[in-house]
Parts: sequence; structure tokens; C-alpha cells
Amino acid sequence: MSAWDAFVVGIAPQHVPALIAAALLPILVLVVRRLRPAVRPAMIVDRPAGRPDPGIVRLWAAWLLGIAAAVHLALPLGHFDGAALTIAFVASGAAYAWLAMRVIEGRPWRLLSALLLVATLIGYLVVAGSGGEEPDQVGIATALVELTALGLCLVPAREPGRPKRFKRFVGSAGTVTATFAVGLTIWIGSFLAHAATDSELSSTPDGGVAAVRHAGDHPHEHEHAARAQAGVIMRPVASHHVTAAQRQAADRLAAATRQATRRYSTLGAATAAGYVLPKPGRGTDVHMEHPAYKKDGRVLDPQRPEMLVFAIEDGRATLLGVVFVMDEAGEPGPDPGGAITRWHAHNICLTALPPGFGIVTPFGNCPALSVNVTSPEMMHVWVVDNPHGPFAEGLDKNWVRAYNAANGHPM
Amino acid sequence: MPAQRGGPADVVYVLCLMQAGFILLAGLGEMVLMGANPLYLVMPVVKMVVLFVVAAKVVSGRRWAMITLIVVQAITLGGFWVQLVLGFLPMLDFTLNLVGLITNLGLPVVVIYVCASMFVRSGRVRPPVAPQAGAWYGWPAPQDPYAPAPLVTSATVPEVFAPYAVVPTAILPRDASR
Repeated sequence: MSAWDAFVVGIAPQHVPALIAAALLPILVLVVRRLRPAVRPAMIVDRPAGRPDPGIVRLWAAWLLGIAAAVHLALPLGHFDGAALTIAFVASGAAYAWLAMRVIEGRPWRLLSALLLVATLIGYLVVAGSGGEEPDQVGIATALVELTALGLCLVPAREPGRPKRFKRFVGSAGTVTATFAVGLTIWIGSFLAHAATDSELSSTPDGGVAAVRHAGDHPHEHEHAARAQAGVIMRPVASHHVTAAQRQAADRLAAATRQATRRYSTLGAATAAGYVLPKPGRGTDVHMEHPAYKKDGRVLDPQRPEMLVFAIEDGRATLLGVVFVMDEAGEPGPDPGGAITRWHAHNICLTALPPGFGIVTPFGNCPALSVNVTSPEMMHVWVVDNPHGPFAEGLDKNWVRAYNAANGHPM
Repeated sequence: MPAQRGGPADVVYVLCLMQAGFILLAGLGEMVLMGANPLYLVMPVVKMVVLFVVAAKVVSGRRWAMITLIVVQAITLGGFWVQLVLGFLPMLDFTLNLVGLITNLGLPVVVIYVCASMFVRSGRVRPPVAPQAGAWYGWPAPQDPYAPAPLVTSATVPEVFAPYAVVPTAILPRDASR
């Protein structure tokens, strides 16, 4: 997946008008200023001596509220939601625009802006956290804009002789907490969306390969593209409609993988074949790498899968499936099954002190002293009969535990 | 000398608070992934505290805090470029997205720019400001103490001082008049 593909896939198509509106806002402001040069914002009007300059804070607040207004006013252009949601978007956009004007005119703005910002953020988090909408880059960026504006509302400007220590402390704690809570909820929402996709993958009645099941008359509205790009980066699919040939190809791949990996059904056989058991070597998804297969130049070869996935718990081990990994990062893997055989990559944080790794947050960040890198593309193929089929992104831990307890090989 | 309080520093302060929130989230995420090992929270908490303290001192107008914050943000910015370079390795890639650009590139650049401009302004000696026409506040107009004094006429001398005034003459400094 190229860098541009990864950038674009993070932006939901229905949010493109909102992004364009936000980008056009500076031009709109410039045009208005040209047309009405006599208008002089109150923020730069002479103020009493000794008072701190409130101009920059107001300027930032006006821009941030203006961007939020542009985004919300343009959202109905891409969303095509019901009348109630459209009215809600337009009303919140108009309210943001009104508040931005209040800021420019020098009138009180903090309390009303804070209330609207909190209400909007909660609304977005409820929708994203409940799986109603998959968080994407435009949604998260808008949340960032709103969080910054909220911070400016909550933290009072410091003035000589009036330190406002308590208010500033409460405002600071509120800003950090709000940022953390919004990020965490978006993160959870993106994982929920990921899990929901797996539930849409189901085995065919004859026990064959999973197919993409479409819900209702809107077959693509639940497509999961991991647009938050917080740990998982999904490659966009050209078409969601799977042809008969693609389904047969996916069937063949799943069957060949299941057949070829029978020789690794025990942990001993896998380690004897060269797969390395990582420490601590327990869990419901232990990934065992084969160093030689990772750079053998062979792609999607059922005879030489780059990783095996085992469940190892309570003295029993079960081979759950394999992970096919591309040799080079950024190189797209073949997708014989179309939308069924879908590749993904992981963006992870490599930490130096102490050595470890995490996953990138929805805000695109890593912890201190770490770098954000993206793995080569990979694809799971499960060789055990699971509720979501051989090409599910992941398996439910509880199901794996039960399966391993019932079918696992004693260690 | 403390720089001017409020204004741009308040914006920097809020941006640093947001960065602290980002770091806390990332740190907790990593800690959970690494088996709830609290050691993985040490560096994030240290950076959060540094950001919070330094940003507060920037609001107080401390020049050292501005420099420290510029260095901290420059390190963050450096990390972004390191990631880009690492992305050229065969086994690694770097994913660029809208939010990542804002938080990892835009935000540090803004903080560095604002801090640098505050630092430059705080080092300047402010020239006295002459009162503008129609303005009701401002610094007093600068006066040259060695400039020739204006002539005093009976019209300009208050009546109480009139007996002591020599008209026409100049009002001389006290020492010179003796």
C-alpha cells in the first residue's frame, strides 16, 4: 500500500465535503475581509493599559470555532442522513459560526462555546463508541479542533495580579482529561468497528469460505477500513462484490492452507520445522515466526506460511491458523479472493526506554522516546472452524479458550 | 525580565496540555499491551510533567522555559523525521495520515514558532510609545532633558508664580537659577 493510498483510506468518502469546506475557510475569510475592509475585529481594538493581550487567544478561538462550523455545515453534503441528523449538523454548524462571530466581536464566548463543544464531542463519541460510525481522520481531526477550542475555553488567560491558580488548574486537568477520554473512546470505537466487521463475515452453508455479507439495502455502509489507523491499516478494496471466481480462489487458498498446516498441528512439530516460540509463549494468539520464510521471496504460499498462530493455555496447544506476511513493507499482497482475502498492516510504536512496543493512538501518537513504524502487509487464514470463517481478522478469545480446552493437544 | 504574560503563551499552554493528553493515552496503551507493566508509564509521565511545568513557566514569561519547550518540541519533530527515514527500510513503512500530520508535525511547529517569537520579543527593550492622537492611554511622551526650555510668558505662568517670573525669560533648572 503506497503512502498516498494509506493517507486517502483514512478519510471516509462521506466526510470529504467537510474536509474541503474546512480547507476553503481561509479563502472565504480572505474574501470577506476584502469585501468588507472596514470591519475591524474587536479583538484588536485598543484595550486598557496593563491588561494582557487577549487577541491571540481570541484569534485562535475564532478560527477553531470557524473550522468546526465549516465542517458541521458541510457534513450533510456527504452524509445523506435523515432529516433529524441533517438539522442537527446544520444547527451545530450555525451555532459554531455564531460563537465565532461573538469571539470576533469581543463578546463573552467561553461558557457557551464550552457547552456546545462538550455537547458535540459527547455526541460524536456516542456515535463512534457505539459503532454507529467508524471514526475516520476527518472526524478525529475535527475532534482535535474542538478539544483545542475547549482547552482555550476552560483555561482562563493569566493576567498580572490575577493568577487564577485554581481555575487554571481545574481547566488544565479538564483539558488533559477530555483529550484522554476522547482519544480512548475513539480507540475503543475503532476496535468495536473492527470486531463488528468480523461478525459480518460468515461461513457459507456448505462449510466453504467466508463471504462478505451485506446488510439491508446498503451493502457498504458497514465496510470497515480502519480509518482511525490506530494500530491497524486496512488496504482499500477495489470492489465489495465477490465474483464466483474470487470465491473459488479463496476456497482453494483456505483448503490448501488447512491441508498444508496439518503437519504443524502440534507445538513440537512447529518448533522442529523452524518456527520460533516467543516469550512468554502463552496466550490465545501466540504468533510463531519462521525467520527463513519471512525473506524467502515466496508470497501467499500455503506450504511456507511466515507465521503460525497457536493458542497455548492450561497445558494444551491448538494451531489456530497462519499469517501470510509480505517480504517488504509497502508492497501490496495478491488478493485472489477479492474482498474476502483482504490484507492489512499494523502501525506500531517501537519504544527505546524500556524496550517494548505499543500501537499508535487515534491521535497518531506514540509514547515518549518511541517511533511509529508500519509493518509489511499480512493476512490471517484460520485453519480451525470458527464462527467468522477462515478470513476473519481475529478470533474471539473466549471462543478460542473453549476450543483449545476441548480440542487442544496436550503439551 | 519576564515576558508579557498571557496572549500567545496561553495558546502554547493549551497545546502542551493536549500533547500531555496524547502522551498519557499512548503510554497507557503501551502499558496494557506490554502486560500492564507500569515501567512503560515512567517516560510518558516524565514527559507529561515536563510539558506541564515548562508550559506553565512559559505563561509566566520565563525565557529558559521557552528555550526548553523549543528543544522538547524539536525532539518531537526530529522523531517524526526519524520515522520517515525508518520507513525507507525494506521491512518497515511509515503511515502518514491527516491527524498524524496535525499532531506530530503541525502542533510542534506551531509551538516552536510561537515560543521563538515570544522569546525574541521578550529580549527586546521596548521603546517608549508616544501617545496617539485621540488615544486616552499610553506612555508619557519622551522628553529631552537638554532641550531648550520653552519661553514662559505671563499667559503661561500661573498667577501664584507670577511675582517670581521674569517676563520674557526662560525657566531655568533650579541649580542654574541660583
